[in-house]
Amino acid sequence: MTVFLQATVEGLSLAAIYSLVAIGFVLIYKSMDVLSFAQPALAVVGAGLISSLAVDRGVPFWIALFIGISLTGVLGLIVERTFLRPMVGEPVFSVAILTIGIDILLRTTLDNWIGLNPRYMGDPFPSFGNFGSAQIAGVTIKYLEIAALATAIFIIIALNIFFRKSKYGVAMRATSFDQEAALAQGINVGRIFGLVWFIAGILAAFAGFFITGGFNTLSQTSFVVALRALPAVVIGGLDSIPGAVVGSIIIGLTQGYVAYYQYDFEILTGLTLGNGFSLLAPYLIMFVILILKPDGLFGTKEVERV
Amino acid sequence: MKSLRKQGIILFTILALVLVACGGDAAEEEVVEETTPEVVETLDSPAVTTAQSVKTGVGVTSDPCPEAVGSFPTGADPSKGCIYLGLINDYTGPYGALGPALELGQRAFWLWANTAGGVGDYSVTIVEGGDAQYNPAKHLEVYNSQRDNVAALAMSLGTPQTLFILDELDKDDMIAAPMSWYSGYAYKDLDKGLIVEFGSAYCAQGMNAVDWALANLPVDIKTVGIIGNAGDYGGDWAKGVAAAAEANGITVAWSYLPPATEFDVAQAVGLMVTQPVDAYFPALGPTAMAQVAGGAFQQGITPIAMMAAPSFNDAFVREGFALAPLFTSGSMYVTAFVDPYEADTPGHAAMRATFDAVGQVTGNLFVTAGWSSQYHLKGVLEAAIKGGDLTRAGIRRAAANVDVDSDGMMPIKNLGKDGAQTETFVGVPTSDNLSGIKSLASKYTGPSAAAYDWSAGACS
Repeated sequence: MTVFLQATVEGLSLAAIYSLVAIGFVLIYKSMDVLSFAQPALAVVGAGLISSLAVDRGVPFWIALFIGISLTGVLGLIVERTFLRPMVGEPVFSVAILTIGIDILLRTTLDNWIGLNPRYMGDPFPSFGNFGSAQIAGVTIKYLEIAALATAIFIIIALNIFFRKSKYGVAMRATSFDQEAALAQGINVGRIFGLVWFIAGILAAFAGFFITGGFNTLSQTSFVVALRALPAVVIGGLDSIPGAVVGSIIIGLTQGYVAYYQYDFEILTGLTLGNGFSLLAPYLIMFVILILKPDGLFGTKEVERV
Repeated sequence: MKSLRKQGIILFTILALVLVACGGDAAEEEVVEETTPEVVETLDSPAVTTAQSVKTGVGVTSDPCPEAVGSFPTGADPSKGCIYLGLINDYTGPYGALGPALELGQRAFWLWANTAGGVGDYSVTIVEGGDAQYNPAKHLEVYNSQRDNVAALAMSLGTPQTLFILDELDKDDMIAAPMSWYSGYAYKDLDKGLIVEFGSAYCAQGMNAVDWALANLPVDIKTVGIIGNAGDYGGDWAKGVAAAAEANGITVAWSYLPPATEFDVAQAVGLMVTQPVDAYFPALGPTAMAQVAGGAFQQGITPIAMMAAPSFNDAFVREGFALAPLFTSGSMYVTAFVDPYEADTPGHAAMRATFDAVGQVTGNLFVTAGWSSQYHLKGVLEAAIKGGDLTRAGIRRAAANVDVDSDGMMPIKNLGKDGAQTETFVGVPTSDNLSGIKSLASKYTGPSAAAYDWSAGACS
């Protein structure tokens, strides 16, 4: 039972990180119809900014965290204004390819800064308890993971309120629903696009911090963790925020359970699933769900006039 | 109107396939079956040693080397000719962080060697490096951009990548210093006599890690786990660990060897938690190493760790790193292909003096690897000059039968004789020096590696 709980905790904490990245994907897709491949790069750039401020410049960690996350939001805004705004009206495929270019640009620049040694965030989490963890009923719970979970829940609630209650939130929903109708209603769609990228940048930076915080450290391969949120988006539906969260939970828990039970399963059945199966399993689930529900669990069905 | 969602899914699927494809697989490592013709004449035969003039070829000029490449001085003698060496490095990709450190060590070596008189009537310089991104296709691309201008390669980084271009190297008679310690480089049927290996092979390091731990640690080791990246150093290392475990009657409880891109920290930690072992033998990158060791430690799992060199990074023991107390707790050890920066040999002393002279304050294992990788190449070039043939074919022939020295950094090695080098360094992390490693055993060969039949061929 302890192993099951431990695997569940691991899975949920992964789900929290994935959901932060996944919601960013969905926000951009909903508003611009583009799957942005720059999200993983924004995540690690956010972590890099925090590390640079907190470790290299001696800024107190919590201030560095705030500034780093805010700057990543601004970076998202700049990316939208400089690279994506001129692409309005161009085929979405071209825009998606452009986001791959932005991803490479940001990561190459960051990699040059990271250099040889892994960089740490300067956060206090590893100094709490037993190297940043506590035992509760035999289950090890990491403070960083609790923080990730709490942050994800807080952000999801905050976004929900924002979309329903605030002027800009309603404007974003209207833009997402029909850009031309939104324009006709006096909504500044360009500003909404900028706001979307700003929020996506903030979400990415949070995810970046939780991927690299504690002794996880920031290295040139950290972005791969953020990329693993992609199946979550497809499972949940590309245009559904609740779907992104549910997809992340499915992916995270699958990864957690396979990680802890694959070896026992192989001994019990005599089957060999192979090394790396814990990362492959989410894709298998994704394929099954796509066969059953091609638009994802919560995605909007598209009707095409032939 | 096309379905935007479908476009997104197609894009995503392409990206996922690319990622999976980049992973590779140990089992897919190319094994080259071709053999090179046996070289009958030795360099020490009178016909060779009495050569009066030196025949030259591609990559060798009578004009002097440039004073600097980039901002780094070459130390070249303007009155001497120049031997140009190629450089297939990684500046981006999974090992992009290591590339500059390796290159720094290599350029510093030739600065020192040129200042000390060069190689015969020549100075040696490394051309501007090309970025192969740890990608075989890019590796070939970089090679193609350099092949017409260099006499040999100062570095070909990565085992799968180097094996990928081996046929091209063969066509050009181009020898290369590797930057990986695959045991196959010590066998002509696998490297065609083109790879000028240096330092102990991963496989031998794995064997020695097991033997040294059994002989020196106050822990009764009965079960072990192996963690590594297949397709890279992990496969060869794992073979060595498994062979020594078998020789010592130890049980390998599990092996977790996915490709680097498919490595899941949660699964590695899960294995350590659900299937506890007395010791584990990781051959990972540094980030994964910290996450695995830290993740297991948080759950109260602290077996002995015998790390392969690429797993360790001196940042682990520096002030501010959360896990520094774990890495210096005495439960974690490092094995390596060559003694680290502070070792007491003339070669290490020359390296430290050169770095002091150029104002570089670094001493990590990769700088030492870069420096030490060039010693055997220098020995081959000297032998080629001694043989009067500095064409690529002459250099290749020299590499096929020569004893190379490294001022004590590594044992004297006969490059023409099949069999991997076994002498391994063992140390423990410390914050007291530049390399971050305190020496516990130098040039160690345990009973498993000593008894292993190295004439039978490569481990993997």
